[in-house]
Amino acid sequence: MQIRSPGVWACVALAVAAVLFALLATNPYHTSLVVWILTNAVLAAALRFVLQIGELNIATAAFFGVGAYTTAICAVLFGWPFWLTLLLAPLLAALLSALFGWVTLRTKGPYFLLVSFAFTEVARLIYTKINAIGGNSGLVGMFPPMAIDAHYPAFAAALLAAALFALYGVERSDLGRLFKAIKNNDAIPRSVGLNVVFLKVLCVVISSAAVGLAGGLHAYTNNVIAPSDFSYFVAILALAYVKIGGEGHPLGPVVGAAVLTLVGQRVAGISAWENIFYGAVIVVALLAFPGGLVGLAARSRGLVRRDAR
Amino acid sequence: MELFVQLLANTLQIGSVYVLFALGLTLIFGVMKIVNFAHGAFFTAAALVVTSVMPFAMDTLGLSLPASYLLAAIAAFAVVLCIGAVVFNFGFQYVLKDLNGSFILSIGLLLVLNGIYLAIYGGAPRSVPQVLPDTINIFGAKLTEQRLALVIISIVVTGGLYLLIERTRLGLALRAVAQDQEAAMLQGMPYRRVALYGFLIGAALAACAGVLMAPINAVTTVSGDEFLIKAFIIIIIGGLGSVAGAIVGGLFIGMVESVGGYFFDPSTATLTMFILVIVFLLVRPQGILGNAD
Amino acid sequence: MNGDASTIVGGEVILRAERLERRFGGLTAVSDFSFELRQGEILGLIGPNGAGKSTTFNLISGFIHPSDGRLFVMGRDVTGASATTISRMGLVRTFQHDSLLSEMSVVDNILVGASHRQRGHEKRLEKVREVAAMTGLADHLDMIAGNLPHGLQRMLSIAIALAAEPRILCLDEPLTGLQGAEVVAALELFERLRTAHGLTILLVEHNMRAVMRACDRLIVLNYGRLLAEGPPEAVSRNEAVIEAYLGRKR
Repeated sequence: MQIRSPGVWACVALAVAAVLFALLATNPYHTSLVVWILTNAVLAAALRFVLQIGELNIATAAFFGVGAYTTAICAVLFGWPFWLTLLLAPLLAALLSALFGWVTLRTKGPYFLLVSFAFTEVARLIYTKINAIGGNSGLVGMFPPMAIDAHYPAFAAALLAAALFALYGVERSDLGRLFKAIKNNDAIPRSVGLNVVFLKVLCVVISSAAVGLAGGLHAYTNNVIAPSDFSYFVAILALAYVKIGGEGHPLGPVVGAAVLTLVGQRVAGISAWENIFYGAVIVVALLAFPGGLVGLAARSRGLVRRDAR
Repeated sequence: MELFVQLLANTLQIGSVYVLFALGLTLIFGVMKIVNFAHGAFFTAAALVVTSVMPFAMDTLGLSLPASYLLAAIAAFAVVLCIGAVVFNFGFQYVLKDLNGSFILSIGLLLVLNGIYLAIYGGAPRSVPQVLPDTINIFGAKLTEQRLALVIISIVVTGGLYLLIERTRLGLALRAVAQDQEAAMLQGMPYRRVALYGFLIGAALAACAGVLMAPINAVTTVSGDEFLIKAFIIIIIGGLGSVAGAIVGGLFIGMVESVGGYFFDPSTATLTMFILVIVFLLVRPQGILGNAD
Repeated sequence: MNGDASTIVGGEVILRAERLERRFGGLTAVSDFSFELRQGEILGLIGPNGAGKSTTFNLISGFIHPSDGRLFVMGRDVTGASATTISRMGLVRTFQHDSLLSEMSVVDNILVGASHRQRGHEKRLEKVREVAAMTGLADHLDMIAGNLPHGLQRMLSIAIALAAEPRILCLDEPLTGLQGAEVVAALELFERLRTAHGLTILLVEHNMRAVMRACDRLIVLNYGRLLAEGPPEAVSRNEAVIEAYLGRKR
């Protein structure tokens, strides 16, 4: 389903508003909520980004973890400067995801799904086994430098919003068209000189760089990270955000992340009901509202373009 | 020698459960072309039902231990088949052959089911007494009769499944639909019904594993999920949709786990499995016994 | 026929298949199949259903690999090379079924075709306009490919291939479902591509009249083997060919 864009400038305005809010709000709970929502939005948008080539990439959670651990290790264990620790997060995530993608994206459909799932679990296991990086307890002590500490939420919000726009920009470019073509009928790109495996890997690399950055920022936001923060469940939540918000539109993951993060606050802490809530939301969204919230809104405004059938 | 036999016994025991689990998963994939992330929930449901029916049967109905277990097993199968029929009818039948859609659905279902289990049973582990608690000695290796029974029953069930698939009309339908669904439909096969049967058989296999494991390990609401990742590894190695592959893969992973767990520790064993999967994918993307395209 | 120095029919050999064989389990789809394609010619590959034409097409374009035999494109051995490699060398093919990016617009379809050769969005768009004009799609650029009428869909699949600037254009049943005037237009396009643009064309087709008119040479496949080869007139009078096609309309 394609929906005519409601306006990139409206989104920029929204992003600026969010950053300003993070800058000016006095309640630390509110500012951290903004960062939290944007982090979830990036996770969801990155997952949706790889859905462009038709693959469900559970390893989104793994590379979120790679970014976080890279930053944390460089900051706490090596004592490197703030900007460097943040720069390395997306770089390392991109690099590792290139390797991961090169091996796994040659395989057909369901294998990638299962392997990305296994990879995420194993990454988590590896973190727990290495005592030098904290084992099960993880790492603590990632604090932004004094100079920006007070305004850190706004800083993080700005970078996260930038990541969202970057993903959007690639999606709308010729490269994004190639990704869609691969999903639609990958024989066509192959027949005109395009290297489909390379393009698929590139798609995963871009997505992983975005979540890697989010991971690095997350380390400083939370000041503590642990292996359990990066289980496959993170990817499943991201999937829920995408499904609720709507898969067909770049705003979908953002809307879904915002809605579910806020609503999820209500059910937080009651394990059984939290499970049932998220699960029911996913099932209902999938079966009854495949276009998600954005799809519903667009349909009610008559903005949906007819599909080719 | 004694160590070897002990490891072999462990391999068989661990492997048997994995085989049953993976068989269901691979069968469902073969027929419906979907990955059922909620497969563990069938296992868990069966095991949990056993932990509540067995004490009820023994204390309230005054049945003997074996009879209670049997009753509990029947109840477990009934519950799992009901759950299976419901989730198929209201969910999976709408996402047949849609890999991502069905995966998403199964995640949602898993969360809902886990939540329900948690709400009903709480988080504490539950156990039931072993029906055959005596230990026997085979070539120097110690094995409880319960575990031996598990292996034997698994072999029987696997054999039964093989017969079903190779020798019955339902099995023929399952194989036809797995190989070429459109051709099968052109021959008049009711795909949705065949898919339902395949799905229920898969669920029953997971339930069987759950029933067999309940007396051996304490059951929690996430017991089934712990098997899931290994089952995924098994069906990748064995080949998605391949019954023989699930058997070979299940035993192989059982071996890696028992040997790795003995010489190292469980998580190292899991790591090894993953590295094996990577290697396999590099060399043979379709699994040991999957079909090359 | 407008002559152009670079399009001498019967020029150098730009595609050569040497004893190609392809087995699928117990079935041999193509066996001991050799042929040459020369610069500037329009070669027709014909044969009854099941003769192995699709398999041959997949073999020469790198979509499947031969069990035996060798393949040379522009003199280079490309046996076992991928579809990506072979298409980058200038051999571009279309598809009989599933031949488009049906959920994307006409512009986007052709853009994908142009993506490898042209660098930068502007250059690619230029190519799109150029190719769309050649194939009669200039007025339909924003339509979703799957919504196009059948004749234009066939043209679009050729347009995608043309956008990749091929030297060898392999068309898989391009005239299927086309009516009279559309067929004429298509054949005129092929001739123009050959004379004005220096392309060489390999054509698989069932439309016998079109094949007789358009092709310089025919190759007949039957049961995966070469049955006959030569100018259309000669081939159409070949007894073995007539027998293989028993019942075909003249």
